[in-house]
Amino acid sequence: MFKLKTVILSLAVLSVSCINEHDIGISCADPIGSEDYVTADESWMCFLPDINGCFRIELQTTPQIRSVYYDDHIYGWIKDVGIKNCLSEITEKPLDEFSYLLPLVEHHGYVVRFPDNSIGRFYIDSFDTDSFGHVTRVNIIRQHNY
Amino acid sequence: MKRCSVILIAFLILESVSVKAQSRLYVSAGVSDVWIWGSINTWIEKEAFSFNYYTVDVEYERKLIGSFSLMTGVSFFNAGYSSSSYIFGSSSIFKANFIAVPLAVRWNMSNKNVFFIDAGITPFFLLNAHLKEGIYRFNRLYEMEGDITRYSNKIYFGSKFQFVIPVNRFQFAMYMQLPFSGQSSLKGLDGHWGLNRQQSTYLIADGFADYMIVGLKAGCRIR
Repeated sequence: MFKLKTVILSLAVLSVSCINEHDIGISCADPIGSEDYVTADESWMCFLPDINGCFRIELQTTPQIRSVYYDDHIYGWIKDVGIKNCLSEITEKPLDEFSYLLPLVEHHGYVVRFPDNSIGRFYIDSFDTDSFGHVTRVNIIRQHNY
Repeated sequence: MKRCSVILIAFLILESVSVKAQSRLYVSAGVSDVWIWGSINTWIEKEAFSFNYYTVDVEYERKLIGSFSLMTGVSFFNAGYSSSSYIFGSSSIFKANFIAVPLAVRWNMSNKNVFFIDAGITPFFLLNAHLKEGIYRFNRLYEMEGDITRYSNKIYFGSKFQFVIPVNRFQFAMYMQLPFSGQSSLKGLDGHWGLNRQQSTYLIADGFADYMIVGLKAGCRIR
């Protein structure tokens, strides 16, 4: 009986030792409602319906983004909020120091603001480059209103 | 607290087998398949009869009355699913290890020791759970892998049925373990996982729930 007890107790100890509750360590999921967006040179990225709140991506030299003003349509301002790991990490809601034109930097987060005081955010996930190292496409994760 | 409960369960079993009575003790091992019909079933590819999970059981049988005996013991097993599809949600591989303490009634049909039927309940405790998922974004595979034990419910309840053919000291059995419905494994994984509820198959399906373990095992009587 002693041997049996030893075996069963060993099994119990083994099972307890199997328990581990380590933290995953990564928690940078994209927020619900975010959208993957791929842009090429000279393409527009609009945050509001009917070509409102649009920005133009320019890749001919250094990648940059420019606010587009189009007759009687809503335009937006943009602000670089620095290096982020994902879109969810862009939590700032700045009120000033926005621009109409900014360089696009990989793994940076950007906040956009519109005259109706709605805001959006986007994250530069990655650049696709050609064999010469020129950026051909920008892979963006974006969300309007957060 | 959780560790204490496991140790307590072990001691209860220990004490029960210490009692001298008309009893038998079996050790057996086997393979099993997991059949899923819950919401996750919508999202994963079906890989029927793959039998890529295991079970190791120590079963104690004690005579009750007539052709009926009480069955209890300890059961180590794992369960999960695997899907490599990216069509809906992410690819998803989930595997969890459990320890169970079944409590069942064994019916020795006709009292001739040729066929046993066991039926009972089985509380089971999650030892660890591992999840790996991946999605294609911008033509690149984003993978997320980790131990999600901390973000999983630990205690579950289910029923267990066994059909046993004893041959001298050996026994061969087919068993079914059926967790009661509505017991989701999710406990706050949202916000701690690299994929969100629109991307992760595991999260979309509200975790690992509504499944049945079907297996075959062989063992021998050691006492």
